[in-house]
Amino acid sequence: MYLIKKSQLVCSRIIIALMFLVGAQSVHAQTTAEERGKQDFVTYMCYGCHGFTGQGGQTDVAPRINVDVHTAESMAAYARNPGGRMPPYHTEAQIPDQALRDIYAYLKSLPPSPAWEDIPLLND
Amino acid sequence: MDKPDKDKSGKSKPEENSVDRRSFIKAAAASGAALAAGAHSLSAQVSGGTAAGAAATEVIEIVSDRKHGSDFMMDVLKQMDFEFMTINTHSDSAGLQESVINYMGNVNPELITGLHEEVCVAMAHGYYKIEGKPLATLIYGSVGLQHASMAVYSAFCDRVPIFIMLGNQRHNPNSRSVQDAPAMVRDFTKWDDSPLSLEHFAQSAVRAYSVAMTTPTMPVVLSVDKKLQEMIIPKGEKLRIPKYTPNTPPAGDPNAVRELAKMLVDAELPVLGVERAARSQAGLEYIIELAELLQAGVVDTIQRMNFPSRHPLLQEPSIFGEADMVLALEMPMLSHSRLKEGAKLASISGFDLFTRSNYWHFGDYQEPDFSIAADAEATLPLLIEEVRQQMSRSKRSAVRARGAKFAEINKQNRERDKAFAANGWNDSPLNTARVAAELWEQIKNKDWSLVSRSDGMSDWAWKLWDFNKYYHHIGQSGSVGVGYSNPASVGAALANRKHGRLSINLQNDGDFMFLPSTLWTAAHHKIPMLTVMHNNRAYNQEIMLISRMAALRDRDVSRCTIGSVIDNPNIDFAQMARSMGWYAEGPIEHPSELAPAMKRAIAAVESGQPALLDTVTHPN
Repeated sequence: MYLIKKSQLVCSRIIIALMFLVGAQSVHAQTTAEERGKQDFVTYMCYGCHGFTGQGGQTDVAPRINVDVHTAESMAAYARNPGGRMPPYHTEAQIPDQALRDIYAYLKSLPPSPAWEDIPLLND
Repeated sequence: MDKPDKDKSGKSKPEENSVDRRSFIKAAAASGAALAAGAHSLSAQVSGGTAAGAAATEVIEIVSDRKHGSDFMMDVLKQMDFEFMTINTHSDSAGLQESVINYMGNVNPELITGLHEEVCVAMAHGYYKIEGKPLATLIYGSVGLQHASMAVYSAFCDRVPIFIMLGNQRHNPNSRSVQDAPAMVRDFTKWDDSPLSLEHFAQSAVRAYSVAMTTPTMPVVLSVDKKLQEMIIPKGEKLRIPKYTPNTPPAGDPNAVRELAKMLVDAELPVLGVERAARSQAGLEYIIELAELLQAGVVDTIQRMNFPSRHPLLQEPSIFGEADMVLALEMPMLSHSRLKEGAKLASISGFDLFTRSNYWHFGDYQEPDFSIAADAEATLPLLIEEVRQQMSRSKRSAVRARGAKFAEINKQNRERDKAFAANGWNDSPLNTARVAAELWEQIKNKDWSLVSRSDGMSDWAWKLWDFNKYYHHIGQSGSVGVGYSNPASVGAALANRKHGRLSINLQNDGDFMFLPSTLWTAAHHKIPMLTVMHNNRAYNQEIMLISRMAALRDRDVSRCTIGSVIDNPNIDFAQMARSMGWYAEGPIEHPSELAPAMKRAIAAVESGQPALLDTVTHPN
């Protein structure tokens, strides 16, 4: 009686553990690259200079990066070895390649801003 | 001087005091007209530098019947016509405080209660930037001055005169007495004294005011002993108050000005660099006149309201690298290294007329090719006249072309800024350009004044608003120290109150939290103003710097918010403001909420109440 119960318990635990694993994979699968990129944009401090949507800081601090981003590869290459005032993110430890790809997806997903000519408040 | 005949309980004051008061009022009335004339002349001098022969105050000789030392000190201060005296109450100035209340009737000066000494001094800083005359401030000589010292340093760096009085107790020392109270701020004040007698006080107070108000203007300190304040002046003693005659600010030597004018007229591409050049509306108009006469570009560091923000000759600092002749007006830190090879650099500045050694607020040595040690605003009328005389008709025609070139650069810069402003226009958290633009829409047809650091909200107000009057902004702190903006804005709003101007404070959250008690002072004294928070929940500039440091060291950047963010918990600024008597709304996170909230807040301000909007913004 006792042995049967114990084996049942072990089986139950394995099943529950497997369910958790499958569940976790499902959750990961449900998280889009854009969503992960949005989080990574904050985690890896991109927002500090470029703003939460990559719209740029002051004109002489950091450029807008939510437009004209050519490819994920070119953006990643620039982040690894930038020019100008941007600090280098040389290593995977500093920012993984996957995070760079996700950030690229996030920036590409953002809706375009209106042109200043179409904003009455900027035309007074 | 109008003083109450009864105290607050309705009781008549003792007869002997009334007699004493009447005898003094006679003398004061006789001097009143002269005092008013003197104040007017001072204003004329400060704004135009034209005060030769200005009427000065008369000598007042007081025959004391029964008077306390601090009453006499008030008689001395009347000449300075202090509208307000900021105070953090303390035991060693009880005599002075009581004299302001009862001897002066709490009028000229009226006491303004600060809940921290740094508030008292920073308010005086902001007040001067609008009003062009100093406030008195009364703080504790030992512990109080230590609290206040940061604000004193800011005023020193920003060339702002403040008349600081310290309560101290040397004759009967206690555990808070200090041997040489002004010593701790001597490295960043212009003059100080610790008078030993009442006549010594009178001499030193008038001297201190004169020194403070002579350019380069700076804070001064008087340590006032408690025993001196509280002594009863022996009956019949004559005490003399020296007359105050304002100094004409130092203008440049005419021959040197003539030579400088020639350099400017002969230049192909002259540029004016302006920092603390204008001290008044007149100064602003002189700079416009000179720039337009020469069709010169103008680079403004907005430490003062030197030049209109939408003037087509306004340029960005990179233009220094293209000019063949640069004139730096009260801009001693503009180094020759920023100019192209062979370009000439000239300077008009009072910086070398007085400075201190210990705190290095001067930067690189300028290395000018031609330098006039004088006050720029006082020298500009001479320079304008010389340039006008030296400009031939053909030259005037030729300079129009370069004016058009500067105007085109200005147009391109403005359009680039607007494109930048539009990016992230509908974002939440809020785009700071959007906040500034929405606010401009609400205030542009009102008589407004930006009373915070003029580079607040990432410079968007300066880039988007139409600044064209001297009181439209108050410049920066001078020291770049955090904590200045909140109390300085309340001091400037206090100065704006009697003019009926709408005072606007674009307030960084980190700066705000240094001295949040400033809110209570504004509400208590019914100082109307609108504060709009730039609430990015961080010291973001430091986050940028530390992240950069980690990246350059190939280390973990994701941890670089540690020590620099102001969240968890998020501060509820609206609740804090309401608790101290302000109208407040927020946190505001969506752009559609901005305009309605601004309308409601401005209505509250126009009814006489201070109001705060907590806008949650992008980092920059």
